[in-house]
Amino acid sequence: MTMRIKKTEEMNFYEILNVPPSASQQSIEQAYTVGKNAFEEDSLAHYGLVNQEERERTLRRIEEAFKTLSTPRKRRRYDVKILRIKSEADEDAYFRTTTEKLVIEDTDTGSRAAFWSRLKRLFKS
Amino acid sequence: MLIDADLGGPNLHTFLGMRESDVDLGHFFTNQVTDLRDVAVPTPFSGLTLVRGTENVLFTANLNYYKKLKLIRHIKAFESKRVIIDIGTGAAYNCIDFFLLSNPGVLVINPEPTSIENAYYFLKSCIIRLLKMYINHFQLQNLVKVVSEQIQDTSRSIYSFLSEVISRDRHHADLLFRGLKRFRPCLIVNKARTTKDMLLGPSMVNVVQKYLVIDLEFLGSIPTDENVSVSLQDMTPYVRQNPDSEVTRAIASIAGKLEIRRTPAAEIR
Repeated sequence: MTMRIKKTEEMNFYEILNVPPSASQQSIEQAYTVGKNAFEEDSLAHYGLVNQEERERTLRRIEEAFKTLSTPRKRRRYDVKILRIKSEADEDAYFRTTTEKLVIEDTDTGSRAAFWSRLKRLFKS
Repeated sequence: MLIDADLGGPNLHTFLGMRESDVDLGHFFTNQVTDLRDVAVPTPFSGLTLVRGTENVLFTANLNYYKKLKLIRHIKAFESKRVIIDIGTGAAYNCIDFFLLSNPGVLVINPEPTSIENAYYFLKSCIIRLLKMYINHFQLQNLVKVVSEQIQDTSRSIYSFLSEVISRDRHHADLLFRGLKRFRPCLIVNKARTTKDMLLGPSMVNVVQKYLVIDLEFLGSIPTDENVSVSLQDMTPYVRQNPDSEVTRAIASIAGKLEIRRTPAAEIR
């Protein structure tokens, strides 16, 4: 497990609504209502913790997330997009400290060789 | 068992209709009684005992570190599975440590800006205290300075603090973050009057998840009821006088949720 601390502006639409990517339309609507209530100007829930600018930014992100995730066509397109971003982000995972580790072919060759050697051993026995 | 650890203003006994008592926490702190169990007195309610706070509040409100550790050690040694510790308001180390000791710690707020603001101050203080404990436990000397700075600079967000910890020591920051994720306090909104008040709990959970990096669990809202004041004047528990009221049902529902909730307690050192 890698550490995951994100600012609200770095969260994807599912994270900003605090629902899993498999969430139903009903869950998304419920999450949107809760999120909107939390960050509306007259809500007390953010009092003393979130400044005006952050509150407005988060509310805009919640609205944006709901607009996309509540429309099936837009949601499908978004899902494809975040899956791509996620795989790119994984490439940059912080534990990868040297470029040598990115030489995947060598590893593959090694594992392929090990596989054939195991297979040969199996047939011999 | 109930423990009145509101050291600056103990009054739990009044809620239970109890007046005088021969022993209280003061006897324990001054070593007149060596075992905390010997300070627990029976209450008018079957199966419930009470460790009363002391009337000598000037002494206990400024409890020293070693006496606090002594109390914590005795509480942890209790065989009783259900110990409820009533702590006072404010973010003094005593309050924070008793809160972190509890599994779970339950915050009770009113739907008012002052109460909400205090709750956030308190949660932020708990987070810093918890991180400091882990840092001391794992002897991460390079992070001690970062925590000290955070304690002095209250304007910094928990996010910026954690980001700095990550930039200094990623491996151990991961460890701290996992420890922090084990801290899952609960929330109750008391004296709720309007629909908006009822929505406050889930909304605060949402805000905390985004801005304090921890998970807050909402247990429920308790509606306001003038009869609470009547019960207090009669020195009789409200739920006894009003067994079928909305407030009693809300309390029963919250108690049910607490009963099934099990998470690892934060370690106090």
